[in-house]
This record gives sequence, C-alpha cells and structure tokens, in this order.
Amino acid sequence: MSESSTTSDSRHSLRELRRLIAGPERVRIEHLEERLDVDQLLAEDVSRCLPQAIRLRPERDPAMATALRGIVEEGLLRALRRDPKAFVEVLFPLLGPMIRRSVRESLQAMTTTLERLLEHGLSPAAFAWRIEALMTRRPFAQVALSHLLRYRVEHLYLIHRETGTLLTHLDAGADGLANESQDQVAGLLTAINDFARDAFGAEKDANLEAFRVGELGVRLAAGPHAFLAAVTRGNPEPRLSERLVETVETVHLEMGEELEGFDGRLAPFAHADELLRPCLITELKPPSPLVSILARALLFLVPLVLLGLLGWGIWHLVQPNALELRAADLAARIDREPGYEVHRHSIEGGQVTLHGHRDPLAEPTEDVLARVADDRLELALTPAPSPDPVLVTRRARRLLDPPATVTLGVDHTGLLTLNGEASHDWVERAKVVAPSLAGVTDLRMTVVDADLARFRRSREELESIELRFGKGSSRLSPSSEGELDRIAALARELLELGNKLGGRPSVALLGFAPGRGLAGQDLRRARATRVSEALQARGLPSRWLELPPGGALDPGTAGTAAADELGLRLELRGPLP
Amino acid sequence: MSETDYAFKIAMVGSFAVGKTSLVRRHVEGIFDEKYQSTIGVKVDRKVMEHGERKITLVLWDLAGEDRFHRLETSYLRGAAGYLLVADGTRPNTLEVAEELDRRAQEALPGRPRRLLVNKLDLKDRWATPWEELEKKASAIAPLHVTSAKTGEGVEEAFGDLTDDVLDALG
Repeated sequence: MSESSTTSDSRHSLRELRRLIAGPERVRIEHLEERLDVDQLLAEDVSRCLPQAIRLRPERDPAMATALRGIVEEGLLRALRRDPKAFVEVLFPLLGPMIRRSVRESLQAMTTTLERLLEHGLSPAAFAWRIEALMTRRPFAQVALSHLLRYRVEHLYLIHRETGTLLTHLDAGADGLANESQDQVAGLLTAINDFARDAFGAEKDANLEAFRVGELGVRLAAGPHAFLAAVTRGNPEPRLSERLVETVETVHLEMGEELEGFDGRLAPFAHADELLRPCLITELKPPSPLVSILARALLFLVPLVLLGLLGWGIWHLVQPNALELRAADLAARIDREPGYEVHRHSIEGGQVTLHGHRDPLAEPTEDVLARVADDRLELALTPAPSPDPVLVTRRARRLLDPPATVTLGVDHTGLLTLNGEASHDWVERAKVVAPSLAGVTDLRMTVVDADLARFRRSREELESIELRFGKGSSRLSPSSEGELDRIAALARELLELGNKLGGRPSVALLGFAPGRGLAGQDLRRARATRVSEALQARGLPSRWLELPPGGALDPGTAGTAAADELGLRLELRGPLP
Repeated sequence: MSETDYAFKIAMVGSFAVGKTSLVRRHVEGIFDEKYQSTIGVKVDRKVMEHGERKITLVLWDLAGEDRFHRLETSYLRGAAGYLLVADGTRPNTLEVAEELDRRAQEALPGRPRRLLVNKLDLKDRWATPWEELEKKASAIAPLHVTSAKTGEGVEEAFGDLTDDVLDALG
C-alpha cells in the first residue's frame, strides 16, 4: 500500500468517527437552526397578513373578538391599575355625551312604546283589548303590548346538557314562575328533550329545537355541553334561532372547559348573563304610516287636551268658590255701610246680587257702588229705617229740624239727646215727634223754651215799671209819659206770647192814689183810664187791658206822699203760661 | 342563580309505591304535578340545603317507579351527581328491585354516591322481614337510611348525608 492511500484512509476514518460521535448533535443543531429560520420566516409572513386577517375575521364570526377579549380585558385592567388618572382624563370628555345619549335613547324607547300604544289607544282594537284585560284581569298595558308585539323573548335558560342543571336564567320582566322554580323548569326541559329523542328513536345528538303552546313558544339551541332555551311570546323571526345558536357557540367558546368539567359549581357561569342578554329581544309589529302620523299627532294633542281639561276643571272647581268668597266679601263691605243691611246674597251668571234693606237717608246707592267698584255687583234693597245711630241722628235732624241753638245726638242704644234753646213751638213739636222717631228708644230733652223765657223776662220788666202822676192828678209825669211806648210794646209782646204759650193774659192797670175815700178811688180810676187810653192809642186792644174797680191801694204806701206820686203799676193777670 | 353556590342533579329511583314522591313532598319545592311521572316518566323537584356557608340546590329527578309496566328510563339518570334508592320496608321485594336498579344505575353512573332509603318506618310493625335480616341485606346494597315519609323521620339526614357524599366526591 502506498503512503497516500494510507493518509486518505485515515481521513475517511476520522470523518466517520466524527460522524459517529457528533452526528446526532449536528443534526439537532441543524434542525434547530432550520426551526429558528422557519419561525422567523413564519412570523414575518404572519405579520404581513395579520392586520388584514384581523379585519376580515370578524366578518365571518365573533371568534376573533371572543379570543381577544380576555387579552384585551387583562391588558386594560393592568393599564388601569398602573395609571388610573390617564383613563379618567380620557373618559372625562366622553362622560357627558354618554350620559346624554343614554337618557335620550331611554326617552326615545319610552316614546316609541307610548306612540304605539296611542296608535291603538282609541281604535276598536283597543276597546277589544280593554275587554280582554277585564276578562283576564291583566293590566291593559300588558294586553296591549302583547298585541303590539311581533315577539318577545321572555325567558332565557342556559342549561347544562348532561345534568339538566340550570346555569343561568334571564327574564324580560314577564309574568311567570318565581325565580327559584326555574331550576325545575330547566330540569324538565332537559327531561322532555331526552324523552322526545328517546321516544321517537332520534339520533343521539339530535335535539328538540322548538315547540309551541298557544302564543308561547320554546326555541332550543344545543351545543356539545349546554343548550339554550328561549321562551317566546308571539311569532319569532327565523333569525332568532340563528342568534341562539351563535350565542350557545360563544358560551362554549368562552366557557367550554367549565362546561365540560361541570361539577355542580355555578360561580364560573356568573359571566354568562352578559353573553345571553342580547337574546332578550323585543320586537314590535311595524306600524302603518297613517296610523303612525295620527299617533304622533295624538301624542302631542292628548297632553294638550288633558291639560286644557284639567285647567277647565280646576277653573270650574275654583270659580264658584272664588265668586262665593267675593260675594261674601261684598256683602260684608256693603253691610258695614251706615243704613245698609244685607241679609243674603245670590249668584247668577257670574253676577252677585245682595238682598236686604237700605235706609232712605243712607248714602246714595250709586256712591256706595262707585266706592266698591265691582261691575258684577247688584243691589236689591228695600227701603227701611235703620237703627244705626248715624242714620237715626240723620233722621231726627231731618224730621225735627232743630234750630242752630239746639244740639242733637243719638248714642248706640238709641237714646236721643236734645240740648240748647228753641222756640216754644219747636219744643212742643219735638216733645211729640222725637219719641216716635224710628230707632229712638229713649229721649233726654233739656231744651230751654225761648218764648217762655222771654215771656217771663218781659213780664218782669213790665211789672217793674212804675208810672208817676202829678200829685193828686191823673196826668202822667213827663218821664212816665215817655214810658208808654215801652209799656205798649212789652204789653203787646206779652199778650201775644201769652196766647202763643197757651195762656190768656191781660194787663191789669193798677192805679194808686192815697185815701180810701171816693176821691182816692176816682183818682186811681182816672189814672188807670188815662194809661188805658194811652195804650189803646198805641194799638193795644181794650180787651187786653183790665181796669180793676177801685184800683189798688197799696197798704204800705197808702196815705203817703210816695204813694201819691207813684200813681200806677201794671200787672199781668189771667191764665198765664 | 347567584345565591346558589352549587346545583346538583340527584335522581330518586325505586319500585312503584315505595313512597319516593311522598318522601320529597314534605321537604322540597315542587311546581309540577305527579302526572308528569306517568307521562314522561319523571318529575323534577327542588330542594335547597345549607352546607356550612355554602348554599346547595338539589334538583331532584323523581323517576317513575319500576314495575312490570314501567321500566326505568336510565337516560334520566345521566349527569346525576348522586342518587337515592328507595325501598318499602313492608314489601321485601322492593329491596330486590332497589338492588337491581342500583346495578343499572351504577352502569350509567359508575362510582356516584348513593344512599338506600328503606321507607315506611311508621309501619315497622308490619315489616315482613326481621330487622336484622333486612339491615344486613340492605346494607349490602348501599349505605342505609331508615325513613318515614309520613313522619319525616330520617329524611333530612338521608339528603344531608348524600349531599356530603357528593361534595366529598368533588374533592
């Protein structure tokens, strides 16, 4: 063998040895390198199509969103815990619009339902519904809604398929079984499903999909471990079944492990409510356009009409009372007027009439009405004297017509007081009239009779006059001659007043002259005759003058010079007042 | 649903007229009529148990009694967390039926907790089999409870013990 061939053999052996010792590791290293390259390549490839895949996948089904939800939620929660302030700042400008939108949509939903009810509110159908509500003792709104509904999902049951256990239950607030009875419903629905399958020899995976009882129906959508049962009222659209199937799929996607390993624990399914809730569908029948317009019109008109009726009712309720109060007020005001006495009031056609009495001497009706200033007021008062002191005073003043020298007053008891001085005629008339005046209960009269007073003064003056004659003569002294006019005036006044005051006086001319003898007697007569003639000459009738026979012999002065000079006195005689 | 921590399906099986329905009548909330048993073979009732701080709902599947006209619908046993076998102390053959039902139930529900209730304790003087013999025979089938649906004696204990068994089985 040559040297070169020996070297070649040794190299080959070395390679062979290396292959035997390090071969497996090398293969593994190459494989790993290849994997690294592939993952890198794969990641690069995926990164190119990932955005488009994310865009496209949700169009097929919600699996992408469901798969990402946990990751996104977790990421959000971590970020929120780390920096809540950032979220507050982001959400703050959104909160207002969110709240407004929520309120708006709630109102819109309410208005829509109200509109739909109003559409039928006055229709014959609504009348029939009212009868139905009465017969079935259900609220009208419930009956109406049941007719307006195309369908409504009233209950949703998520039921564990193998055990028949109720995992969660939602309802749309419909009447029905109590919440605690839903376990039994779920159990029996499962039993019925099993029964139907077993009884008719259906395949093992086959399931009851729907059944109806009257207006109620049950739709079932089964998944591998759970099924969803929807109790519906009305006629559900076919889309509901699809929706239920999608929901069951989503439930399995999210809770598949919990469903498969279900051991009776319900806590893992608390979240399922949110997945089921979109299936609680209420769909109304489409309204007819004409009826819709009418309903909208009614929606605005009805409140207006109701408001109007309310106002009208309140006005009618309040108005009579207001008028009644006004009438009572007017009656009180008029009754306070002196001489007005209101007994009752009447109201007719918005006009108030007061009935009672009015003193003719009271203030004129026009003046009182002008002061009250209410054109709804009428007075129907009959004339009658009023006991009001003001009116009694007015009446007394009018009927007694007292002179300025007399003061007149009436107190609240009806006592009429008259003070002062008045003519004899007035006093006499007042004595008769005053007690009979309406409203006067008593009379206190201290009025001086002016005529009588004057009579007495004049009498005193007349009887104090002494006429003097010449000694032993029937001729008047010059000073006494001058007294004759005064005597004549006084005598005339006294005689006239005496007659007026009810007397029949006469003036006795008492001549004086000393001596009891004939001479004295003649002289006294002569002197009296002289004065009588002088007075007659001054217009006094002779019948008023009395010449006592023999004159007068004053025993005190008889036979004295003074008596001789005295001559004559005048004395008023006869029936005096 | 949130007020309940656990919900277990419990099946009740036994010969006809052993008093299954009477057993639960006084102790559970039922909304369905007994006619369901004769139509679809089962009636579902509900019983709520307090177990410590846990609230447990037992959904009781009261299966129609086994007789020559009715066979037990074993499909209704599916998914049960446990079951109650019920026999009548005055009718010894009901114990045999219970034994047979247990065998079939164990096929459907291998290893599931169960309890045997020998009912009609109130009629014990009419029991055909001496107590010792009956006890021996019954205990061989399943853990034994002697109950009276009429007086309620032993019923709550039976439900309570079965619930304990079910919770123990959960671990």
